[in-house]
Amino acid sequence: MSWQSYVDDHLIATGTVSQAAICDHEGNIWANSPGFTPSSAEVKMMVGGFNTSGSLQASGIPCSGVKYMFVRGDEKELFGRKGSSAVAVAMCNSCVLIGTCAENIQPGQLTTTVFKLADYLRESGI
Amino acid sequence: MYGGDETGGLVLDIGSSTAKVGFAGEETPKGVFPSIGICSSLGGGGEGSEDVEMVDAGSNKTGKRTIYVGHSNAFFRRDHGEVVGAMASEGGAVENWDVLENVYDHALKSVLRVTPSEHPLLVAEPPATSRADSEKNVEMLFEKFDAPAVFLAKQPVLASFSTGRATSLVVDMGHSGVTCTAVHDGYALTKSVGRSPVGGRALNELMLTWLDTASGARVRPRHLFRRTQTDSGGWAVEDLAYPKTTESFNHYHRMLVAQDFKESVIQVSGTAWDYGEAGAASAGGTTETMGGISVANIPSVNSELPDGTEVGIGAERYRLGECYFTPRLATGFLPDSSAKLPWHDSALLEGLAEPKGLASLILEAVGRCDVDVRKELYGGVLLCGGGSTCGGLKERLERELADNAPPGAKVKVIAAQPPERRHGTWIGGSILASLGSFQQMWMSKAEYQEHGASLVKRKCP
Repeated sequence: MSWQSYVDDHLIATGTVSQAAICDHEGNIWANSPGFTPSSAEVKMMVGGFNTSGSLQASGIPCSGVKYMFVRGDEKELFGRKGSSAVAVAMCNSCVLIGTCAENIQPGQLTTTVFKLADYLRESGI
Repeated sequence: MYGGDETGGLVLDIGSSTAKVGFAGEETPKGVFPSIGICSSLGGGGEGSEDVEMVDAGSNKTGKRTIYVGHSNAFFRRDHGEVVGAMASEGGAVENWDVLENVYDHALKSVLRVTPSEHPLLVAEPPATSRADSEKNVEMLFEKFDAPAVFLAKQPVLASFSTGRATSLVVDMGHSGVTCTAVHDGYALTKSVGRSPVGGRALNELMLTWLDTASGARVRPRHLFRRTQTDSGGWAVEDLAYPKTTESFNHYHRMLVAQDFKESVIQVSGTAWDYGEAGAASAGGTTETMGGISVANIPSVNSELPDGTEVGIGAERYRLGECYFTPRLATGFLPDSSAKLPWHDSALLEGLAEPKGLASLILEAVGRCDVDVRKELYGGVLLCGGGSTCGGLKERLERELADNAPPGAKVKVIAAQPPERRHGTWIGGSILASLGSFQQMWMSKAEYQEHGASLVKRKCP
């Protein structure tokens, strides 16, 4: 299964994720939804934030040119908000999963979808 | 789908001192009772016990011990009955799960008198609750009480909602300490949390120390004396002796007496207490001034202990309130230099020699937030919790924050009227759980069965 089908079939198709991307820890994009391109600098910031989320609470979570307010995070998951949209970032062994949602979606549904896929990827050793 | 206000939701806010429970959509909690259990081990209460075996709704046998919960049980003296709190003495984390289970049970079956399986439960939790604790809590609510749906909301978020705000800096002055949390758009920013161990319990302890040593009064718990009217119209107080009463029960009730006394006299002065050159080392020293007046000249007020003893308290009532702002002043309550402050070994100090004052706690919490929201947070410092109801606190805090905030920041301290302020968290929960748009947020029993308890951190961010 290609990475693009993870984005299309397992994230966007659920209707609970508006935009999504999968990239490696350096920020090279493996798959993404149209128009959603987190830069490698942004991804590196997120990756750095998993261990020391202190760095993100002052700067927020920048993602594809949009700055989200850092709400909470631990070593595996980050969550941020901007207005009524939200971003969820999950760390897997070799990749980073990023999903955002627009106003019409409950952020709780976004995190459920993104982090569940991340759990699956981690279990599969990816 | 639910519509309007009728959701049948229940709101539970279990604090470190009291549990607030009630129906969503109502203005005040239906029941407020101590979140403690009186535990008697089955072995201890057996032979020669004067105890009456009570098979009432408030008791529950779990494992080896019987736990009695509820207002009347907290005041009913039992032989060998130890007072055990559901929550840890600081930080608000759950310490005794079996006590908490009994508190839930009492709240649902005896106070609210409902069938738990028919009502969704909104439970307030402290902002820094660990993932494991949240999951355990949810598991208990689904497995033990068969709840149809559960939502765990952060206490500061609810407090913020109670005043109709989605963004504010919530200062929750509780029993086990003060917690400052930034809330943005209905989400608690968990990394902003600042905590101090100077809470209601610490002040009760200081008050009790003062009553015991400096006032000349004897603090007798209510179950250890009998007060009767004599023929001449006066009152006679007779000591009672119950040697089988536990130390923890006696102490709990002595603390309640000190708490009552504290609540009737505590006051925060409008100006900072000037503790003089010698600092706090000169306990009760004459160099201390308040608003230019030597503390020795502050007039005293009288308050009565339950046994009828009148106690006058002067400068110390201001010193007590001042502990929130300058914790080191508390050393003035200690009888000698070897005595320890209530928070001397607190984990919340995080290695500091003394707790931070209220103003710096708040300013540091704001400083840990995104620069873009700081301005909004300064403009919405929200006071809640029982400790915040002490006289003069709001005005003093407003002044201290205005003096220390960065230039250009407009500081506004928001505080509801005292009854709503005390139960701010619960009221916010009542509002949230009755919102039509909230009904899709519940974590349902079906979801729990499919995903397990780990779903809670995702459903309830």
